Amino acid sequence: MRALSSTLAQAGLAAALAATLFSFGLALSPPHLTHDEIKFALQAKSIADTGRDINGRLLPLYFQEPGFSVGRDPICIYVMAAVLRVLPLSDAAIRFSTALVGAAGVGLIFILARLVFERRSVAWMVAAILASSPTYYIHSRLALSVVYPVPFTILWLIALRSYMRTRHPRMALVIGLVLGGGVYSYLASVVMMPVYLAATGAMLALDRDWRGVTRMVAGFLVMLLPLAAWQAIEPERYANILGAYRLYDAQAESRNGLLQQMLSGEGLANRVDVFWEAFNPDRLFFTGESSLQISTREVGSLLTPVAVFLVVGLVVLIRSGRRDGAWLFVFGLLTAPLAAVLMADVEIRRWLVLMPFAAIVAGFGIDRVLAVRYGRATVAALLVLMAVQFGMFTRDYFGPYRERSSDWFGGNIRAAIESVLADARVQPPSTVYIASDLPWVDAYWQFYGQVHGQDLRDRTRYVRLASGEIPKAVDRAVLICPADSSLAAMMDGSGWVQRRVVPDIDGTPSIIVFAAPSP
Amino acid sequence: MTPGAGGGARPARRKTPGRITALAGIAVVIAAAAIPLLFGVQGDERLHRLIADVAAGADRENASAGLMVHDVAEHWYQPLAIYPVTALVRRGVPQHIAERVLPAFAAGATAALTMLVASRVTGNAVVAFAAGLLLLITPGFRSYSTRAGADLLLVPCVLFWVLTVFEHLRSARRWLPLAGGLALGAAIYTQLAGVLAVPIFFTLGAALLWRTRGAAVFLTVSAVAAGAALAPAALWILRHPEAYPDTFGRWAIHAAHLRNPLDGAIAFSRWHVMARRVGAYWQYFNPTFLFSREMFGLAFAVLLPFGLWQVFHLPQLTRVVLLAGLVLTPVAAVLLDAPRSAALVLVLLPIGAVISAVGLGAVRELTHRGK
Repeated sequence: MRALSSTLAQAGLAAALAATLFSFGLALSPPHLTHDEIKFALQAKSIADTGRDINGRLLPLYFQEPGFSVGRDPICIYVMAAVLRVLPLSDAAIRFSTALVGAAGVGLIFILARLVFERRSVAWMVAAILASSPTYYIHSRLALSVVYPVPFTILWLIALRSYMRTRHPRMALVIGLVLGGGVYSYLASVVMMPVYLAATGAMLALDRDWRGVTRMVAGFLVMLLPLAAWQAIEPERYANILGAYRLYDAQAESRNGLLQQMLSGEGLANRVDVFWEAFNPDRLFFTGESSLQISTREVGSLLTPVAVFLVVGLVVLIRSGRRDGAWLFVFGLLTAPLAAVLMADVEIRRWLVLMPFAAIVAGFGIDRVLAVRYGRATVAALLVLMAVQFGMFTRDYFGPYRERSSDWFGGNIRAAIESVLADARVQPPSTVYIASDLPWVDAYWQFYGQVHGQDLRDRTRYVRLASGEIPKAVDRAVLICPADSSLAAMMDGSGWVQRRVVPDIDGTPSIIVFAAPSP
Repeated sequence: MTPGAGGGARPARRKTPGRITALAGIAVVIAAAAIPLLFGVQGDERLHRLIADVAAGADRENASAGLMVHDVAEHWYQPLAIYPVTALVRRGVPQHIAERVLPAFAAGATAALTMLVASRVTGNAVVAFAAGLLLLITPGFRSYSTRAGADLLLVPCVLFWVLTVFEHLRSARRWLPLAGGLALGAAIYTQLAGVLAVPIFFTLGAALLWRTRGAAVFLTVSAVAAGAALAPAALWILRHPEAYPDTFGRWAIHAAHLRNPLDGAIAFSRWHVMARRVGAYWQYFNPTFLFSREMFGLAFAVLLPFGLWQVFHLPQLTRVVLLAGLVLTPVAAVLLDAPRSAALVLVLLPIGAVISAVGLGAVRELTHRGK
C-alpha cells in the first residue's frame, strides 16, 4: 500500500489499466489491418528476425520503401520489433506495441498531473480523460506511429516542470534529449518538436536562464546527430520531407512555387480555415473525423463532457497569465495542429499531441470546478456522463462500427488469403494469381504468409483483371480477386471455377477465390 | 452599476467638445445614408419585379394577400422589403429611386444607433464616433446598404432595443419599454433571422436588466409591445395557415417540411443535427468569414481581436452586452441551419465596430499617456 501511494506506483497502475483497456480485442476491432499497419509490421518483423529492414539495411534510422522515400518512423518499428521478439506475428501483436505506448502516455500524464495539481484525484481524472478520449483510444489500437509523439510531449512537459522547480542543469539537458528523441517518433514531430524547443527556449530566456537554454539546445542537437548522419547518407530525404509537407517540389518549374502558394492570400486563407476547422467543436466533441479508420463518427475526438472542463481550464489558464509556465499548456493546445495546418490537412492523426494538452487543460478546469460550491457534484455528474458516453462509444466500436468501417480498412482480404493458405497446406497450388485491383494486396499476402509460416511468393503472380488481363486456368492454380460484379462477369467463360466467396463482416461478398478445374 | 461609467473603463483625459462630436456623428449618419442613395441598390431581380407588380396591384399567382408577399414556389418576402417601396412608387416616386430609400434609412439608422449604443455602452463620445466610422468602412455594411430589401433593417431594430435597455438603466421612462418592444417585434418583418432575433435579443435585454429596479415592469411592457408588433403576423397566419410552413415555419427553429413544431424539436435534438449546428456556429467565427469582404474586411483582423482584448478590461455590464451580443448573434442563423450567411448575422457589424472602436480608444489613450 505504501508503494501504491507513491506517484510512480499510481502512474504504473494507471498505465496498466490503460494497457488493459487498449489491448482488449485488438484483433476484433478495428476489423482489418490497414496497409500502413501491414507495412510497419513487415519492417518490424524483418528487424526482429534479422536486424535488417526489408531492403537489407542493418538497423536503419528510417525505413524507406518504394513510393515512400521519406521513410517510415523508426521508433514505432523498433518498439514493434521488440514486441515481436516476444510475441508471435499476428494482427493483435503488432497493434499491442502501440497499445503499450498509448498506455505509457496515460501513465506519464498521471505523473505530469501530479506535478501540476495538488489533488491526487485530479491526476486520476486527467489520466482518465486521456485514456477515454475516443481519438486517443482508437489510435492506441492501430499499429501506426501517429500516437508515438504523445509520450515524448508529456515527458518534455514533465522534465520542464521538474527543471522549473529545481533548475537542475541535468534536467535542462533531458528536455533537449526528449525533444530531440521525439523527432524520430512521427513525421509531424519534425515540425512540432522544434516548436516546443523554441517555446521552452523562450520561456527560459524570459527568466534569463541562458545556461539552461544552452544545455537544452545541446541535448536536442545531440539527439539529432543520427539524423544528420542519415541526411549525409540520404541527402534527398530532406527534400522529400519538404515535399511531404508540400513546402517544396523539386519537380516544379518554380522551385519555391509551393511556398509562394502557401504564403499567398489563398494559401493563407486555406490554412486559417484548416486551423479553425481543427478546433471545430463538432469534430472535437460531437462527431470526430470523417475517416472511419480513425473515428466512429458517433462521438467526438474528446468525450463531450470534457468540453466543460476544457473551457473552464482555458479561462483559468488565460487569467493566470505567465505564472508558473501555465501558458505553455495553452500554447501547446493552440499549436497542436501546426503540422496539419502546414500540410493543409486537418485530420487529427497528424496532431494527436493535442490530446495531452487537452487533458491537462481540462485538469485545470476540474481543479477550478472542485473549488466552487457544488463543484464535487458537478464534477461527479460530468464524470458519470463521460463514463456513459465512453460505454456507448466502445459498444459501437466493437459492434456496428466494425461493419461500417470494414471498407475503410480494405475489406476482408485476410480471410481470403487465410483460406487460400489453408487450402495450400492440403494441396499446394501451382500458381497463385492475385488481382492487383485489391489495393496493397502484395503486402497483405506477404504479411499473412509470414503469420502462417507459408511463403508462396515465389509462385505468386499479380494480374490486372480490370484491364482484361485474365490468366489461364492451369492445373492447381488459384486466383484471388475482389467481389466486383464487373470483374466477376469477366471471369465467365474464362475456365476458372468459383471456389468460394469470402464475405465481409456485414455478410456482403468481399473477395472471390477462383480455382482451376481439376483435370 | 452605471453603464459606461468612466469613459470605457477609464475617464476621458480631455473632454472632446460635445458639439463637434455630435456634428461628426451626424456626418457619419449622412454618409451612411448617402451610400445607397448615391450608388444605387443592386441585385435581386425577382424582388424588383415583385415590387413593380405589387405597386401596380397585379394579381400574383398563389399570392397570399396581405402581410407576407409570395413570389414563386416557396419564396416569400417580408413586408418591410416590399410595402414601403410600393407605397413610394404609388406616390409617383420612380421605382429605382424608391428602392434606395429603405436601404438609405436602414443604413443611416444603423450608423446612428451604433454610435448611440456605443456612446451609452462605453460612455465615450470619441469611441462612439469611431464606431460609426468603422461601421462605415466594413465591406459588409457597404454591401448590404446597397442591396434591395430589408435585410439591414433588422440591425436598427435590435440596436434600438438594446439602446432602450441602456436608457432604462440610466433613467426609467415610460415610453422606453414600449418603443423598445415595438422595435424588437418589428424585426420579424425585416428578414429571415428577424423571427429568432426577437427572443434571442429579448433574453439578452432581460439578462442585462437582471435584478435591477423596475426590470419586471420594463420587461412586461416591452414583451406586450413586442407581442403587439407580432400580432399582425399571428392574425395573418391564422387567416392563411397554409402559408405557415413556408414562412414562420421555415424561419423559426424547425424545418418547414416537418409541418409540426414537436417533430422539429425532436429532429433538432438529434446528435448529428446538433453537431452540424455546433459546427455551423463555429464557422460564423471563422476568421476567413469574419474578415472576408462579406463582413468586416481584412483590416478588422487586427482591430477586432485587439478591441476584444480591451473589452475584457471594461466594466462588467459593457463587457457583457458586447460579448453576449457577439456570441448570441449567430444563434439565429445557426437555428435556421444556414452556414456562413452574412445576411443573417448583420448585427455582428455594429457590435464588431464598437469592439474595434474600444480597441482604438485604448490605443489613443496609450498614445496620450506616452506624451
